[in-house]
Amino acid sequence: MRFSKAPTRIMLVDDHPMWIEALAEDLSEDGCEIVAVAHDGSETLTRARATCPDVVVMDLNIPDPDGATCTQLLMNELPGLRVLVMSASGERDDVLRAVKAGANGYVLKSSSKAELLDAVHKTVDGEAVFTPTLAGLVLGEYRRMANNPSPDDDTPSLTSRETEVLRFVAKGLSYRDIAEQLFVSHRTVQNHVQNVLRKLQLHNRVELTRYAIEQGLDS
Amino acid sequence: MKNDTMRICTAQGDERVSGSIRRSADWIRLAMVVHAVVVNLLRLDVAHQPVVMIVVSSVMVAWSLVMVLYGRRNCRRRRNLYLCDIGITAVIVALSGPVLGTEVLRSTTFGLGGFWMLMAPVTLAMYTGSAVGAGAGLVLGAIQFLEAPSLDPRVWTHLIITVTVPYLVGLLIKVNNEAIAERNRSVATAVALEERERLNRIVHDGVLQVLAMVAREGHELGPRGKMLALLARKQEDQLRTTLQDKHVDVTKGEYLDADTTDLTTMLEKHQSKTVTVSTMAGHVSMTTDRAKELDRVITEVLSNVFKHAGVNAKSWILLEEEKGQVIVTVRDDGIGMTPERLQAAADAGRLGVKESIVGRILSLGGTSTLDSAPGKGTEWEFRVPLQ
Repeated sequence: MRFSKAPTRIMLVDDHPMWIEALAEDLSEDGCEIVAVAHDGSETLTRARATCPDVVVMDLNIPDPDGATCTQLLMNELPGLRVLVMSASGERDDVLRAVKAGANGYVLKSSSKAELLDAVHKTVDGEAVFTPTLAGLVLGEYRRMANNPSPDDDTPSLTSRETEVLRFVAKGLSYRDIAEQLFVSHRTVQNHVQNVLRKLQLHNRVELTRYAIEQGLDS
Repeated sequence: MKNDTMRICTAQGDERVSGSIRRSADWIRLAMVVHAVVVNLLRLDVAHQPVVMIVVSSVMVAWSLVMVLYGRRNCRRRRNLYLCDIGITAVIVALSGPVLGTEVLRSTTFGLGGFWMLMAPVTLAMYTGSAVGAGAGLVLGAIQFLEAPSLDPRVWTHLIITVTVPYLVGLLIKVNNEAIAERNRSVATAVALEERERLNRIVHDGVLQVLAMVAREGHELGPRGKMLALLARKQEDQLRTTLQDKHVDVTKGEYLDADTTDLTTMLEKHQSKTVTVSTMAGHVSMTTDRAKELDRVITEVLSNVFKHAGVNAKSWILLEEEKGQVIVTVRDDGIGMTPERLQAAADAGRLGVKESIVGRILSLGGTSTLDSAPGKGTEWEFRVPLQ
């Protein structure tokens, strides 16, 4: 599904030059073009605005502002942008914040080269990169929202089928395995996952807008 | 050399008496001189030598102003200044008898210096300590007493005041300084700890990144590289676990409750090359005893996977919270087993299924479900109430 004519334009964000080098090498070998790199939040914002990359591979643990905040700001400014979050384990709150802000997926820093390249390709194609860890986070977030519904009754909830799919993903089953278990097509599973993420991100936008209006920031 | 002495002197002066205390002392000194002058003017007609009394009163006012103005700077001569202060006060006190006349002095009980005479020993006590101040006070009090000795309590009581007041002021300054020094030490310790914590974070982050990099790249460097990658991965997991295993955060001054354990952090410690842990954001608290028991079950399940599911088997742990209970699912993609084999193993007690897993979960008030089929891996689901 990748475009053969123009190489994918990628920006790498990580505060460790060592990682940037290694990732740049792997992605270049794979035919991607690295259009920018950034080591901290302010570099990320200016360089992303200047180069408008297709995909930003974002480390969350970077100096001011952090990766999740950068994701929030960039998703608002550059609607076509896709962000793949890459971070160490144990940063769950930040990962959730970045994904709610519109990041397309999440891979652990400890994933293998093949997993990483696969995640970048999926992100380029606009597919959600739904690792088990991310599925667990999203599932938990829906549960949390169900327990504390907002007064306006527009809190998104999961259908039982969506919950089922998410739990399967979180337990490490591949889309193919899930499709087989549920007697549906691979595509249907993908749609469910995509839907779950879209609902969450949409709700997040609505919440942010409402907050802005309440605070009088909209004018 | 000269500069050095200056600096040390300033530092000592600043250390012993803070600016606010010194300013208060200055104001009291001025109030006292006004009081003494007023008292002297009121007995101008009974004094033996009224003209000398006016001169002495003027000297007192002038000297007080000198003390206030020079006390703030010129610290190199501070010691001389205090000695002059004591000397001038002593002369004024000694003049009380001849100027007022013994009878007037005895009947009015105040010398020419009034309470103002206390300021010299008090100042000395502030800067050099209680003992010296009290000693100077004793000398001044004795001089005044000998001018007009009497058994009248109003006369000899002055002697007690001239000794105890400088002594107490010196003592208070000392205690205050000790408290300040103690506080400074604590602040310095806290700052040092915070800085060390910050440096630790930087170092740890760097180490984690290098280990992760070795784990990632090592595989392509032949068998030795592979071994290095495995070791690096193990060390990375261990270090991460240690870093997450904190009950106290020095920088935030937060003391986490040791009676409860956060299940998300607890389960995340199982994350490794073959185990993926998925939890929600935030925390799920359970009492430490119960959490430990649950963790033993998870450890047992994972060790079973390691022993029986095949070398390449991977595991996934999922933590969910639902209506006051947690659901922990542990799934592996190993060889799985037939129900008959599972039953046989359970009967033989080989898998530790009965005691260590089902029994423990039961004692926590929870339920366990096992699902397995040949080639389909094994899945445990535990539902345990939070309390």
